[in-house]
Amino acid sequence: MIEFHLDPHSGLAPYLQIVRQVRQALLLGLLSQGDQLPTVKDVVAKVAINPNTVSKAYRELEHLGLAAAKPGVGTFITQSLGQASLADHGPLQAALRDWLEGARAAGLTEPGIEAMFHNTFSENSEEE
Amino acid sequence: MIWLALRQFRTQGLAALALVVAASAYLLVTGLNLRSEYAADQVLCTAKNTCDAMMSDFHRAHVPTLDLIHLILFVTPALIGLFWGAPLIARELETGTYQLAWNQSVTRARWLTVKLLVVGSAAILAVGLLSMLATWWGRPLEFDASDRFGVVAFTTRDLVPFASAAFAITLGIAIGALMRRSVPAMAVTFAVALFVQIFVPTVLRPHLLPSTTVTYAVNEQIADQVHGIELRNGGSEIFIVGPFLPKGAWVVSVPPVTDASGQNVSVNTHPDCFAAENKPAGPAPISDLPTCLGQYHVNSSVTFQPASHYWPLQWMQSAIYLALAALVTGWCFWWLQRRRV
Amino acid sequence: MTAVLQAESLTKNYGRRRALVDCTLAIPPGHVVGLVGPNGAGKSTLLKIACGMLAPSTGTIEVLGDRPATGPAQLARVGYVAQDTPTYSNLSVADHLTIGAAMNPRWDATLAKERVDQLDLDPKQKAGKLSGGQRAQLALTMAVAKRPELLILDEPVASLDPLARRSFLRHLMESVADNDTSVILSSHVMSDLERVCDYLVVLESSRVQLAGETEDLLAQHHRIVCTRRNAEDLPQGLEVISAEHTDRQSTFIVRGEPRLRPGDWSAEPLALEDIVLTYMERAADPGRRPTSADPEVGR
Repeated sequence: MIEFHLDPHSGLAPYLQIVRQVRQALLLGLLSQGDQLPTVKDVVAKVAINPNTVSKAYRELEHLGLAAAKPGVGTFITQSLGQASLADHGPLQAALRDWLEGARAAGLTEPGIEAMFHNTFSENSEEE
Repeated sequence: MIWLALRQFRTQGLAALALVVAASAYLLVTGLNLRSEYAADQVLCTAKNTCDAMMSDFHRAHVPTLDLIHLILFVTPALIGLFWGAPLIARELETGTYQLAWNQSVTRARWLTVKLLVVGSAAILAVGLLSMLATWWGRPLEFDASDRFGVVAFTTRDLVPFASAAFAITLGIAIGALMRRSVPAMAVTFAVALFVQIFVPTVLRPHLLPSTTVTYAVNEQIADQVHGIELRNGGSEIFIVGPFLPKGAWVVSVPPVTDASGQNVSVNTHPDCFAAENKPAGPAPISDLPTCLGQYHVNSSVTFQPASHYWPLQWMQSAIYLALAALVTGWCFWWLQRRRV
Repeated sequence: MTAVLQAESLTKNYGRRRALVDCTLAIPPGHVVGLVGPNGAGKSTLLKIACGMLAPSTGTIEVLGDRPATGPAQLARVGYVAQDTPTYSNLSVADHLTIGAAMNPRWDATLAKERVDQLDLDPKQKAGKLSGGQRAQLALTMAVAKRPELLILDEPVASLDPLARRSFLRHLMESVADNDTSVILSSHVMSDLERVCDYLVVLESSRVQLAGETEDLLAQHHRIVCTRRNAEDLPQGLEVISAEHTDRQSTFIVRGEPRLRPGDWSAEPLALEDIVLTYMERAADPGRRPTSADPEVGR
């Protein structure tokens, strides 16, 4: 079973941290389709966080299509995201490489590239 | 709630039980001995016709013990108020446990009522039982029914001790609530309870029912009624007790013997009547002094209440204690409602 | 839905000292509410009034729709753990559970026993011999096993070591998850509250300075760093909570829309602790109060 942890200084909302940890577990192959996520009670018993946070995270996972709740039973993963999927996205990675070359040509330094990436990423995540 | 009240009282209750059992055993055993000694003495003295002297000796031998028993009983309500009453609320306030108690699903009024009943009943029962035993113990020594009226004796027999215990315990609880600290509350409770215990029979009681005052001339006519002459302050005050005093009456007050002009009679003012005191043959018979003073127009008086006032006074003094207890309990419940903690 | 706690102009005076002044709150159910403020701000007073230990001087308060401590039924719905988690030091753990069972109609003996076992408490141990953390857990068990709708906890973890503190919060959250209990807990340590609270009330100088869902508060507050300017020059719709100026730079903490329109500034979100501190500083030092860009922005 996956175990969650909270980083109070990460700047990312707690429920999003849980969503991210589930995603990472899926990417690493620790979780796959059909696995049950721990109950809200079990999560908060191990990590002292508000149960609403966990509920919200699970709802977000449902919204993203990664999990589904079975009333009375629990919340289950509906999709696997294995390592293999990275390889499937070759064109995406090539596009990224092109963009990076363009950014350097425009004169952005490495910190500048990172700042632009993080800002845009955050905005984009919030809009989701 | 009952469980909690009993559990909290357990140690004190057990200690009290041990003391009451020990004291009762002592009183029972010595009381029975006293009675058998009395019976044996009676047999002897009736044969030899020395009963007056025997009674005196018997009295002299055992009255000190009775006095001690009475004294202990006299302060017991104040002690109970100190040990059981004062900490009842004060301890909970001090330690903060009232916050635990008042959040359980019982109202504060019920909380106090149950605690009060548990501790109050125990107090009244303990004091009542011991006072009844003490009264039984002292019966063989009761030659003069007027002994019942003494401040200490009156307060520790029959009805009054029950009421006095009720007052002392409720007083302690209230003072504990007021002062919020056990130890100071204990001290104040003891002081106030003892003060009231002394004040009511000494100062209030004589005024509860009307007294009778008889003033009479001191001469040989009353000489055979005299059963006590007392000299105080080095002989500057003389007190005569006995004449016109009904059997078993309560002597409320006896002023010093005065002459026709209102001055106190003393060994200095009438030395000839007191010279007999110093005769080598020993003290003169008691009838000599009144006869001698008869020549000088000397007066005495006595203020008394008849023996029949005993039970009315018991009821009235008890009622005073119970009224005070009710007042103080009422205050406690009022305080509880105000939530001023 | 009835608010778990509804207060209107609640004031409490002790003689001349004003412990609470004009507090108005409407706390929704189903939340873990953090009551934060410095010592002496009035947190304990507010909580004591909420569970009926104290009567207010003026104003009204309703807890779960009823005035506090109005009878056994209302008392059964509210669990309270006082500061320093008092317990009867001469009574054992088992005695405490017996008290709970005898004095509460909704007492859940199985739950109480489970918790005691889980916490490794010796039922025969006298409460006075327990460690601070164990006593706090016992007091929490007493409150939770009554199955209340609302739990009120006054600085429950203040005197606990970090391990005991974390353990207490875990058990508390487990209980909340299980029973859907609302919780109001006070603390002057923000880090505890940030983990577990989803509604925040800030008390400072005996007044309510801020109240709201933590999510909303986090979304609405921003730190704006820009070139030196006056607060009035900021766009409409922003309430300026604090302002700091150097020669060339101004830093404002503002409250407004969750999404700020872009402008010639750099805007950052604030950590919850920083938001709380800003309001507390503002209240403690009213002389530094900046003018609001738009005073009509609702709280």
